[in-house]
Amino acid sequence: MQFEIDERQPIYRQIMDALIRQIARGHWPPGGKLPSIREVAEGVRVNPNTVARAFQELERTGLVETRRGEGTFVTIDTKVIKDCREETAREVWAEFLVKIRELGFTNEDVQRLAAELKEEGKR
Amino acid sequence: MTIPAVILDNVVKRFPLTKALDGVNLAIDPGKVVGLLGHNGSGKTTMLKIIAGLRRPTSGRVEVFGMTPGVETKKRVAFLSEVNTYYDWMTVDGLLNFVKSFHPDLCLEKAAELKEFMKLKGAAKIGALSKGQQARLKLVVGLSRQADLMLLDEPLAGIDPPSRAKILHALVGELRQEGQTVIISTHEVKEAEPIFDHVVFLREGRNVLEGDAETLRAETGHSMEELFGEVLE
Amino acid sequence: MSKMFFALYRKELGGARNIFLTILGLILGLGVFLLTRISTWGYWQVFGFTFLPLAFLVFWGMFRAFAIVREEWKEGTAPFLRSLPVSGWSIIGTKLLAVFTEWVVLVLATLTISALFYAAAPLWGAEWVKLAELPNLVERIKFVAVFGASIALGVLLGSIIFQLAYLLGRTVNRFSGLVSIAATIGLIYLTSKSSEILVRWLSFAPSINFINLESVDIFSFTTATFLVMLIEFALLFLVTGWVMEKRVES
Repeated sequence: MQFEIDERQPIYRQIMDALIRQIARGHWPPGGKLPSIREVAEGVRVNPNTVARAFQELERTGLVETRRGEGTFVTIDTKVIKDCREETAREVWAEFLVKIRELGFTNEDVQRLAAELKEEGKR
Repeated sequence: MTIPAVILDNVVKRFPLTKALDGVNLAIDPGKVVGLLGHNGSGKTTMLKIIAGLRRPTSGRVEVFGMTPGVETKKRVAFLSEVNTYYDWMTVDGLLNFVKSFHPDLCLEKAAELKEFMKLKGAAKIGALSKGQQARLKLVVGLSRQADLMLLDEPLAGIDPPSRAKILHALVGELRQEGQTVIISTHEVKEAEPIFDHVVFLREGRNVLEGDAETLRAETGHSMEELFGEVLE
Repeated sequence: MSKMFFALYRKELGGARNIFLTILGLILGLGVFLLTRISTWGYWQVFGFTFLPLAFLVFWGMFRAFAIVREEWKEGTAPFLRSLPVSGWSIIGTKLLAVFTEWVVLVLATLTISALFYAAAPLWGAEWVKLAELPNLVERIKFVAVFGASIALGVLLGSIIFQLAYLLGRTVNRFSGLVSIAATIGLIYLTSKSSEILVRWLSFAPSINFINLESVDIFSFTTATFLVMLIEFALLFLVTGWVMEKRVES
């Protein structure tokens, strides 16, 4: 796992969000094993304590579970993953709406734009 | 409740012409990687030396693992000075063996790996090493040990910029012992920023801002580097 | 514990190697020089000169004891030394022991050269007495032993005084040099004053008598002097170790 961290925001949150996105899109399948804290820490180049915190928070969401001495695994409960995916999508959507409304777009404008972009995508 | 690795309770250190520390209060939990941030002359070295038991506070209370700094705490602490404090006439291997006589926790296999990583020859005389090599040497000595508390005074001074990030990450990553507390003093925050759990901003002998790095980021929306500029300029 | 003590002792010997070899070289060099002088100066004259380094070594021993402590600060190694988990007494003790070892070796080297000159006297046709034929040999050996032990103890006492004086200078952040000098004078005054009093108190201590040494009929040496030096050394050592551990900064 590698990405640019933004030092203005809590780093553990950024790691957690990145892992949630990866799980949501199936990069780590249900029941699959996540990389170890050390591996993530080395990839992102942060303190392992920070990664441990991200894992702890992630565990609280029920998306992963840590088995003593074995590592951290994605839940086999696909419903939890699906819910999380939906929820994240809603967050992304909400952020998008905030930004697009700043440009003066109404809901109709958004629908029109979506339809137009879909057409463009087909071609 | 766990015993804090370090407690400073209203610690003052007066020198004839200056006050190096002017009432520092601090409690550091075991296992944390702490950034001691401040400009030159802000009291960083004095604070680390007081924790290491090399200097005595003029007033105030100091505890390291619940004990007053002394022979017992020195067994568990590795203090790595900013400048070379090793004997010039010793060889690199001679020094490692010397340190091992006092600290059985020093692992010679790990030292061999570190020498390789830091590109140092065991037979080299310390006095003949360059400043940069001497800076690497102290990291070899400190990291070969499994000290409960590691005090690093400006560890990046003398290390060439390309190696800095690599060494820093090795420091808190694969090279660090499980549960080891690390206090790193530096005035170059940018490179070290992502490795700190806890930061202490020191200015004119006072810790003007202190806290969990992530909480500070969440609360202020600033990086530690930005805070360094804001709080200490 | 003994492992740490030994490691420190070896470190002190290692750090002093160059200066030790230099002095040893000088002593040997003087021996060679004197060898070339026999024809001009005469044998007995030269033989007397072979003991010259002893006078120098008395002062050199005390100076080394002082320098071996001062170097830690001058070379900037004090923070490392004092970060090791050893007591101040171990640090001072190993330093004294190392200096004393060097001192003894250098004294023995000097005496060996003198002995070689003596043994070789007939080569230069000097009028010569075999050791075994010296009158009162036992008394002479006894005298040399007691005299040597007193000198050695005196060197140790002087050494610890200089070390303590230096460290006292280090306990202040300003005027270190002045404090050291004042402490040296003060400590010498204090030890000599207390010696007078202590010797009087210990007047019951037995004397060692040497009979028929050269022209003197009876030469008396009171063991009180010896005891007093021993007590003073022990006390000063305790204080110096404590200062090293608890008072100085680095």
